[in-house]
Amino acid sequence: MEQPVLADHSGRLDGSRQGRPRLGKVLAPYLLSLPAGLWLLALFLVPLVVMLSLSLQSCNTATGACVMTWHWGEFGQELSLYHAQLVNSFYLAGAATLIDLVVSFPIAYWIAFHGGAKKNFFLLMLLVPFFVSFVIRTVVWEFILSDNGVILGGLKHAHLLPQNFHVLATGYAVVAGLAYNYLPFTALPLYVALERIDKRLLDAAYDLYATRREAFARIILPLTVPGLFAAFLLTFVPALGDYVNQQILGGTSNTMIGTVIQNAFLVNLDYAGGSALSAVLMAIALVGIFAYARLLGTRTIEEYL
Amino acid sequence: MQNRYGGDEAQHAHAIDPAIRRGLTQPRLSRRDMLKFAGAGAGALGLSALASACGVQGATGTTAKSAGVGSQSWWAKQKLHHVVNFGNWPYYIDVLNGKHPTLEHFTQLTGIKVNYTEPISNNVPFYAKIRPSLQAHQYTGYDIVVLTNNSPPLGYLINLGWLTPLDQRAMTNFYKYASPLVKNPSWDPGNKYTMAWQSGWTAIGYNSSVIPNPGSSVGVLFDKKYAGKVGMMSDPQELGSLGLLAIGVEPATSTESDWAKAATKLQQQKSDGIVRAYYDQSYIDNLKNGNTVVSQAWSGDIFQADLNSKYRDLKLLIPDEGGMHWTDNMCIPLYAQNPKDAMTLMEYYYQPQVEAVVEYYNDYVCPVPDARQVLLHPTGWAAQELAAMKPSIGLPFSTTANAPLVFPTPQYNQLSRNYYTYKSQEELTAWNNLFLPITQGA
Amino acid sequence: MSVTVTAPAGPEAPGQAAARRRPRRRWGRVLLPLYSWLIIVYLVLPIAVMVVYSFNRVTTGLPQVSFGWNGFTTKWYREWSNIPELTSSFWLSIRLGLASTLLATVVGTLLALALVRYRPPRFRGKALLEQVLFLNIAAPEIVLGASLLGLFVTINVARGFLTLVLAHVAFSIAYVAVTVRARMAGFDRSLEEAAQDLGAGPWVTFRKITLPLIMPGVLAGALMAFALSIDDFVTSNFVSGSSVPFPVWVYGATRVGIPPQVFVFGTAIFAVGILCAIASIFVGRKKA
Repeated sequence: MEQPVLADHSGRLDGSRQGRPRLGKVLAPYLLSLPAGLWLLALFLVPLVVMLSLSLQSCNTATGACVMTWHWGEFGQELSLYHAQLVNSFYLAGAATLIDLVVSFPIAYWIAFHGGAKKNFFLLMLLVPFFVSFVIRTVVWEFILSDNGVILGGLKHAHLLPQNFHVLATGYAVVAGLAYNYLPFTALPLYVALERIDKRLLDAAYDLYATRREAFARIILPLTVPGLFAAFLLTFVPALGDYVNQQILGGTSNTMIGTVIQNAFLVNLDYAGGSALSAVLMAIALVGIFAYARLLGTRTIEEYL
Repeated sequence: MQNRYGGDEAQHAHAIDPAIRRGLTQPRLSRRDMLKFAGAGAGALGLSALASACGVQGATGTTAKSAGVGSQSWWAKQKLHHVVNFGNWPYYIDVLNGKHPTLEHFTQLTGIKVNYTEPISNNVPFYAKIRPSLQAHQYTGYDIVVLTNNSPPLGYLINLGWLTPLDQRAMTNFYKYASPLVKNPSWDPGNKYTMAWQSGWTAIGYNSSVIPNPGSSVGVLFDKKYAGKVGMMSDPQELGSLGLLAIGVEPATSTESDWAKAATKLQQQKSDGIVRAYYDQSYIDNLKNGNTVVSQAWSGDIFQADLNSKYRDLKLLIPDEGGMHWTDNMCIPLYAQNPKDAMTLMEYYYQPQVEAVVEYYNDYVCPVPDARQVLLHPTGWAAQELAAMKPSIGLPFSTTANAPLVFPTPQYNQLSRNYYTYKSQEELTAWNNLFLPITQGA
Repeated sequence: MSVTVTAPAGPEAPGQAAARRRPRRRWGRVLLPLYSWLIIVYLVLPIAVMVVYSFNRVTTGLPQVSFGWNGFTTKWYREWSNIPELTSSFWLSIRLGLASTLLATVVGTLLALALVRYRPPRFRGKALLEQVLFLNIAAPEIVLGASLLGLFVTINVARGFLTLVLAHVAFSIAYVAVTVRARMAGFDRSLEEAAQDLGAGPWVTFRKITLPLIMPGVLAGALMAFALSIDDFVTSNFVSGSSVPFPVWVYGATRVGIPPQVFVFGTAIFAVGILCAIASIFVGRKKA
């Protein structure tokens, strides 16, 4: 019987092939990633590096004229001014991310395992509320959560809450807002990770007398780890830089670093300071990612050998 | 005539921020160099070059003065092109069935087509958007823009010579009909560059059912009785000006030591737990919802709220210390392609008939007091339009005409206070450094 | 990859073994669905309020959104196009969303394919590319917006629809790629290999085997891209020039008071989304 020609993706020659691997095969990864790579290079990396280099420059606020002065002190300056807000942001964004992970996991699990033909419907239902502009959503939340509004007013009327209780203008409202606005960023990656788990593995586990708990802990959970990582990343980091929720729902002492950066760019026109803080934010994100990927990286690769 | 630095025009250059002068002594990139870099690929030639280019060099070179732009001889040479690009704030002009009656009427009368857009959501970001064009000596895309006097960008534009001086000889309607509040204002003496679009006051909004007797002083915002239910504005100019009023100083004539004292008072207000939060324009929602009972407020918002039966308890208090008077100003950016058409449009809006229609819709402070008479006794085209708008606005014309928040009485005029006009970049930085930490402190 | 298991010979009744094999039935049938629907209700709550108040009457004065209920009316739906700039900004955002979603999904999916299938040394620079993707997600929007404006000014590109699309795709690619990639991580190559063994060329294999299998991930990524685009304010504000996307107009109008038509448009967007969701049930059923 003729030896089948195997589609060989490692680039190694097998006996039934002649010559070198085709040029197309060698270039495949580069060609596939070329559009994205070029786009990101031209419209993200280059302008980003330029903008970040502004943190080392001295800019005239009025004209926007900047001069490179290698002002490394900018970072220290900004951090000493705003380290409290940075720490604040970690707590608030962290809390919101944890809430989102806990809240999203069951729903992602349910859609992935029990969604059936209606999977896409539920996925869309998770995302559709976020098609509506954040201005509208936040204005409505402000109304819903207002001190004497529908929810709190009713509870106060029934004497379940003290009369001067308020949710708005506290850190809790900010966390709630963040958790609400970033929920799909958590749920979707979790869903896709859960969805691709081979159900046959579970069947096999049950056939081998695994309990429900064991199956979950030893099959599902480990396989979800990359998804958990993606979900955490996609939620925590943008939430860290968020400014809308705190501005509208927060009080006087919940300022997040995102607001400071926003003010730097849009109130002060202090591009140097704003860029410095943004650079710090991204550096923190990168460190976190790097460390996490170290822990996870080797395991993920091994799985796919 | 004196410019805002106190010297005469020729000495303008010496009062420029030192940072600009530093920039001028650095090797500059010509536009050809920049195109070369773009062609050769920025990477090889060093991102620092691109960085300086992106930041873009100093603004001297072609300012209005040096090219003679805006002088009488220059205006004499300008012709009508029958098109004008007008950029304004959203929802700030009369609307009826998908059209703007006053703009349509203008086109009918003059044959000038108006491309009306609403891209200005805030002063500073809009300035950041048009600044690069101005620096590159290019048309911003707008012949008229509307900027507020209590925000830095208008000052920047004037100081940097990035506005086209208006054609004084063509401003007949303006000088005939403009209200004293907007003629020869402190931020633009002699109306060299600006004509007001609408004005307003920043004063104190309060819920009269919770606070039946707020007194007549700014101190009601600092009253411990209302701790946790007081709203303040997050804008440093608004916040700082209120702080100055609270220590009994007129913002327009204040000094840096005054600012420091005002900042201390505001900081005290914050640490006493009196302030619930520092709001942007969402303060009005919180006032309406009862989250705050007294707040810094804009006059137009309170007027609108009063029209709704649910919020009739909201009232505006202009305290004895004064209410801050701000103005949204029409101005012509430099390199505008249709300046004569722009002047025609700006002049058109200073007719009482036209302003009556705008005001019936807008309800901010009208820059043309005679429009009041038109509202009380409408005639001609104005009567037509007003009648057409009445069903959707639902107000008797006399309500708008007799509202002191739209057509101020002399008493209100007396209570008007002006914002501080910064003489240099350092002053603005000093101000912001005092008041921003209060709103964005941890 | 397949696991061969022989059922243990024993005295168990078949039903019992089956029941033990699927002990999640109680969870699966009652608690989880209930929980999930609760979450969906919670997500939809502010939208529902918005829909309700889009029918709110305005008594007098400049028509603006008010949360004090004044009575029911369909006036704002009849006069939905009353404010010309609002209407045009809405259509602009729709066109922008569709264009950028299309581009971002295609580019992002290709990227995800590359990232999943190839490793160093065959794919040099993969790690770098991944770091760039994460950086894109980590970067505060405002930095992206300001930096793009600087770029467009330097190379003298007029700010308008084109720059908006360029910017929106730039910030969406990473989300699409990460989402699709997570879906593909355990992708079974043997199906593709089988197809190619049967003589199918790479394009046919992609079209008939790969694409249908990764479609759920691709759709999720596309949805994410659309939601990001239609709701984007900060970046759009910087690079929009004189064109005004919907969120930028609405935010600017809050200074005076947002007109009720804003809630009408919001309801329309939401309704279309719901329709897509319902339509997907039928599509899914057809496939099954």
